[in-house]
Amino acid sequence: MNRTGQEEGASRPLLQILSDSVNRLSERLLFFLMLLMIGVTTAQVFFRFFFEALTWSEELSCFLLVLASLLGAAVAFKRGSHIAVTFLTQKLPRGLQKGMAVLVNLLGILFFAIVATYGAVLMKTEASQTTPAMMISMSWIYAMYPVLGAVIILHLAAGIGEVLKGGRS
Amino acid sequence: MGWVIFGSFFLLMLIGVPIGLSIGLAALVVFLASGIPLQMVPQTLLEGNNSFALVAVPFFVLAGDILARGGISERIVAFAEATLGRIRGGLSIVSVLASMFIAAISGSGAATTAAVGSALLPELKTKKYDVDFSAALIASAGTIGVVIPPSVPMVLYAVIAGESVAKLFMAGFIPGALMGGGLIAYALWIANRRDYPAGEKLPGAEVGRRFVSALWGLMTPVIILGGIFTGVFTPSEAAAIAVDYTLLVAWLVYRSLDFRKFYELVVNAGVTSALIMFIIATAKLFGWGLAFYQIPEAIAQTLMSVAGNSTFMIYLMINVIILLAGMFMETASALIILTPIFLPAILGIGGNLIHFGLLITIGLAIGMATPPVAIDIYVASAITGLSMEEISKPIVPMVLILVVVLLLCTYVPSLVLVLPRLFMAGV
Repeated sequence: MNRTGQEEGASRPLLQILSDSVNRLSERLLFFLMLLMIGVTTAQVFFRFFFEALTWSEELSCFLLVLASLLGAAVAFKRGSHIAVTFLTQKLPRGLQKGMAVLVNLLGILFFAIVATYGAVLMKTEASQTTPAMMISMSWIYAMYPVLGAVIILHLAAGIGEVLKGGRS
Repeated sequence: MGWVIFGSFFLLMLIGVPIGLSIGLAALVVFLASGIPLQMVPQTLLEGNNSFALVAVPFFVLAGDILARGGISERIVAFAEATLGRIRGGLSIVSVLASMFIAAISGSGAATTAAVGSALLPELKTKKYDVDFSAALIASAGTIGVVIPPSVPMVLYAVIAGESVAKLFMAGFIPGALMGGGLIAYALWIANRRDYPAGEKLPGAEVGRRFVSALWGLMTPVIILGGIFTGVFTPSEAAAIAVDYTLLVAWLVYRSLDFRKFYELVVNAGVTSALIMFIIATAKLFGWGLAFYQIPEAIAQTLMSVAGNSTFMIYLMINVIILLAGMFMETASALIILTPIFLPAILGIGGNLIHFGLLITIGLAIGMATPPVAIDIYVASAITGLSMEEISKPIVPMVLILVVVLLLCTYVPSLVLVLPRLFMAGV
């Protein structure tokens, strides 16, 4: 599924190596976030039954979901597994297919550049806002957009490199 | 201007831009053209995913995968076979009934098809059933996976339409049973015409042994659905318990899950649900654009004027659009895009939103078995090695049966609404 660096070893461009290792880390983090989400929601049920209902668990699960979803989206951009309509582009000649693939990645970079930039703006402007239950600053929540936005841009840029080299279409 | 948002969405989608990104970029066009501040972009993306009801999505996806890969579904299928295998064409009935039962644990059509297909298709082959027919039957029965609760598309619909997940779940039983019943009737007819074999009668002790072995799996729907309908858990909590339970059974009781496999299942479920969550988030942006140009209202008016205000015609047109969308688009994306567009029309003709939720779920579920984009056929084709075309031919009559069920549910709303009305308040 995921291409690790073994095919060409050290001759791979830095961008690819970086994208691969960031992705390995992302997958581990995603595993951990999923377990945490299951754990928190399970704990919520247990505490309500046997002790007192937790006040913060739903909010935490929600933010974990938002974070895990953005992280999972990043892994999906790396794997090229985002849901797309491909039965038309598959019929195009190979050269044109490559051009389209580059265009698609560029459009993705544009979108996530905006998400990342304005996410960073929100980190500043919403810093005094706190979440209702856990009372943490919204800056921490919005931080995921510049950070993971940059990760997605990295994968998309590395993807362009691979397409141009002829690795995948 | 309203056409710009749809035009750019379709254009982007057709050149192969991922659907979530196409929606987001089309919305961005509106944001830029009408000077909406771009801080709204990350803010709206956050809002789109920040919902406790949506927490159920990754959990139901994971529970379905553990069920299929952790040895639970095999044992359920083995038990079903022991009880029904001796009827002529019994294995076909077993495939449909097992799909219906596994649908009560799994929230997705692909997981249901994978679970039943990998357990039964090799055996169907050796027992001289036609493989293309069997693969088509299991693919079409997989659609029941999202109609009988739990159901990922129903969770998505509930969040978008602001309806109760539990009521939608309750409404799914009768339509799901009708779909299964129709497929079983057809399979029996074919079995008699083609003289499919009847299995031998197994000794009582063997049936009992298989029952005990499957018991852990058979208990799962009782825990999940019982918990939701008695109000002990919310659907999202039930989904987490479903993961805990299937995990414990697969790992500790059946010992068919090691850490590597578990890691892979969790990461893949995380990615699969992230694909859906990304579309939900960008659809929220798109919703801004739609609302800005009052597009859903315009579509409602167009539908009504074309249909001459006939409720019958409006439902018919909406069903046709849903079925067509299901052919060309993946289920969750189609649901996320179509639901907000149709809601004003449904409200305008005084329709019931639980009823409509079931119609769109069934209609798009049928889309999982109608090519070119048909996830259940992909899965069945991957298991059997048959091509999509080979499975697509025998599936035609089965799809027609499912469409008949859709029309029945459309025009006899009490089929959908009787259970939630009986057991829950305010439907």
